[in-house]
Amino acid sequence: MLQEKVKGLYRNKPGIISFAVLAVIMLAGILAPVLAPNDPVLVTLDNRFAAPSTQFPFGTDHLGRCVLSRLMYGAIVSLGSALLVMTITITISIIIGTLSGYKGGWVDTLLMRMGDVNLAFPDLVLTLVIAGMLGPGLANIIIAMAAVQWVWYARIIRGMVLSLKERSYVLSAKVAGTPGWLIVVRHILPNIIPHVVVLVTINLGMVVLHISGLTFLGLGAQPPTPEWGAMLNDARQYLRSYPRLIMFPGTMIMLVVISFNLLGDALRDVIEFREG
Amino acid sequence: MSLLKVKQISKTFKSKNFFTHKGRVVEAVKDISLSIEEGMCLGLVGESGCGKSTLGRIILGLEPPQSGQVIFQGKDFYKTTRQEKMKLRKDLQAVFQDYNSAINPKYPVKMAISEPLRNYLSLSPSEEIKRIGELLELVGLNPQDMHKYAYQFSGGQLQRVNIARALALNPKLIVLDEAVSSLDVSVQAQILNLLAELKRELNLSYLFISHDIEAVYYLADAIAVMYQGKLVEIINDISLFDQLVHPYSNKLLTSVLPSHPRFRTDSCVEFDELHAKPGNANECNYLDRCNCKEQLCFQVKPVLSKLTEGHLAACHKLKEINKA
Amino acid sequence: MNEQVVLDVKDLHVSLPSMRGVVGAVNGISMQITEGKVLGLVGESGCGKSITCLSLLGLTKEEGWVIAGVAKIQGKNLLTLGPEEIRKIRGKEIAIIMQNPLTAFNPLMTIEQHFLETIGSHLLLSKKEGRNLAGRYLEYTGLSQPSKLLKQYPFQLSGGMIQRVMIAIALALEPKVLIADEPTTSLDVTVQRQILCQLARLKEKVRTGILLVSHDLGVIAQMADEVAVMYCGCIVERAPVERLFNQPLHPYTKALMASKPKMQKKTLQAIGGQAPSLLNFDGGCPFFERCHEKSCCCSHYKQELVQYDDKHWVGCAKFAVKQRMLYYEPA
Repeated sequence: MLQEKVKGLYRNKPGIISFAVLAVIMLAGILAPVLAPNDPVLVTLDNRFAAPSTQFPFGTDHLGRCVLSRLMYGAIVSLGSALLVMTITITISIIIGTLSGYKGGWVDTLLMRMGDVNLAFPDLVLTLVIAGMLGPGLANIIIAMAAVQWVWYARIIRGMVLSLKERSYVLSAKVAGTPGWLIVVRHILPNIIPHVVVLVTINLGMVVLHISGLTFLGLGAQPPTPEWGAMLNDARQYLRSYPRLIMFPGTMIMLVVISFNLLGDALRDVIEFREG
Repeated sequence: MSLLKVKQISKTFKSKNFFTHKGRVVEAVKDISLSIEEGMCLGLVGESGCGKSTLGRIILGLEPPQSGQVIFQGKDFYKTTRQEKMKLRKDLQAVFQDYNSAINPKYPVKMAISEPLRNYLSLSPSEEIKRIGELLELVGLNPQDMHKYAYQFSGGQLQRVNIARALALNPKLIVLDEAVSSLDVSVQAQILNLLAELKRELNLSYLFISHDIEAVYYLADAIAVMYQGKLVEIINDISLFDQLVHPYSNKLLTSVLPSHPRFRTDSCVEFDELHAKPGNANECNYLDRCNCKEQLCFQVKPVLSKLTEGHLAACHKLKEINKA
Repeated sequence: MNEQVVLDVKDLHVSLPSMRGVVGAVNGISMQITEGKVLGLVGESGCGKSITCLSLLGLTKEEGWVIAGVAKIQGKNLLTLGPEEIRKIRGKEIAIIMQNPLTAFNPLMTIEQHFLETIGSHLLLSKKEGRNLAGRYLEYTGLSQPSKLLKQYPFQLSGGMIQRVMIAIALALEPKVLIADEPTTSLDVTVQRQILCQLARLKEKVRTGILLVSHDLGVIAQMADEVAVMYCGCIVERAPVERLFNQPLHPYTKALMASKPKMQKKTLQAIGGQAPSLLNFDGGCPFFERCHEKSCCCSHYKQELVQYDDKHWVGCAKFAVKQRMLYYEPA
């Protein structure tokens, strides 16, 4: 069954291409210390706004730093922090969602009302408030984003648990004497996780965008850390004179967001095909 | 001593209206008492929504009743300790209607059968495989099938796997909740035969819940008819089947479609269907559809009372017949 | 012949492309529905009953199904009509009653609106006339207080009532052919027979020919005049109802009858095994694997119906051979 699915993914062209794109970007980020042509934070004011050349393949920015190197180092910051946000969010929401869905009763009411309060505010505003309270810094926006986003996932997971709970195989397991936690681990989680993976993949693009957006506003990674959102912010001032400075990070963000979306769609087609 | 004794069980569901906060109470099961002897099959018939599945779930320990007792092997299921409950559950298994979703699609079927085994017995992996093979053979499948996934089986085969799982711990009682209803006729016959055979060989007891009175007649040794959450008639011996007398039992019997065109009836039965409405607490709940009602039926709710030995019915009319 | 054939299906093939090959869902079935008579189509799930119904109504064109054959209704071939032509025929000449009545109704529309929608797209009637027509047909189906009922929404009615409404709507335009796809399967046991009786009564009034599709031999025994037994997309036997129940010829028909519990304690004669996959159906006998009466000539037998006698047709190698010997005439 797993083989069939892997084969299915293999046949899905957009899925494969987007996966390749993301893998290349990720690899470039991980291998940046080896591959990057220059030091990403080395300021050489003589070389400000240098045009692309063999030494600086994408040119340099307003402080004479190599744009390509910054993009490569920035990949690990942007993608890595997005992944971290998702991991934290999903861990929290799986725990809360399954607990709430499976246990029901007052646990459910409490957790879901907490979530309702959270949902009453617009996502971005709430993130901004929390990030603002915690102060600027990459770690803080990761915490702020996870704190806001878990509600949404927890609700979806709770819904899935509620429907799975009534399936006959869960009833049969109960009749067979399987304890509650084991039913969750053995019968409920394995049926939820594929769907969650799809959801996460599609939304990772959004998270990358969010992080870049928050950094653009000055809340995330602080200079001189290379990060795509920060690069956009720096390049903003030179939009008219040196548009390429904004194009490079902008294209990267777009590429990543589109790739995650396509990969998510491909995963959905493959994973949810038989389950209907 | 009976294997299972159900004493005056009631269960109501409440649904609250969001705006008015007025609760609508549905009495799914009302004051039901019955018992199942060892090696016996009790057939429970009734229309959909009459509470027969809820009763099944209560007996299985999946849904605590509001009042009443479920006494299984001499112990009150909902009042004993956790350990005791685990022990009782071992002898109490179930097969559900929905054969498709009764097996987790993520695992090969051997996982489904090994689940009860692992919960109760500590078998070595080779013993476990051997036992699973035996069980599959017992239900007429190939032991090699244990590595297949649910989607690789047909409906009848899956229901066999479900039966194998229910048999894994050598239970005393199996609740068959519409276990053959969604199968094709020819496959249904296979499964009914299998169930009858297993019952003989392993001295099993069944609670066979179904809306299909023909299938129930085939398998059951005793029959209970349920209407709107209440038992209206019980016969402890299936050979007295043609003595079913309650108006509702009669209705069920006349609703059976003919087995041959020469038994065709062209007389149109009048329009008559179950309406769930909040009835008067004092009147018979079969009043709307009954065609032999009398004054007493509006005033006093009939209770299940003995007509002859092993035959109970809840109807005023019948009591009189009996007296006379 | 004084019986007028209203729907004449000849050699209908439906094949569905799938990921692993072509599934032959319906493999050359022929049947005639005569005015005012009920043809029962009986078979187990997956035998192609429902697909037959859908293709007769032209509801399958979008799915990429390949349909071949002829289905003539009043001289027009249903299978080759364009979308607008078939729309005109649907409802007026050929109507359908579906298995699950609740999902066949729009929950936001009253019963009256449903009626007017169906009637209005074929007849030019004023609202009042339409309402009268609707009321009349609701009364025919044994529903009391039709004027009150017309104002109600589908979810306010019980399953049996909504199925009656469905029958009333389907027959209000007096179609020549009514396809009833498992009309009582989702209903309660006590209601089944009532619905069948109503259907029979209305049929007498409207003189519609009915194709009654069911998996339940009881429904067929109660309603049908003629029966076609379907297995794996083929009709394996066709006979008048009494004849079929008295003297089933095809091994599958016999087995099907023996496997139904009939208020007896005798061991049921179950059919062993499962129906074969219809993937890349090769035209051989589909029942071969499960048959108790197979012989050497079965393996190279091509599935076709042969005439056993006047009105009894059977698709089994046993009879095919006999036929050929009996009717062998040198040219």
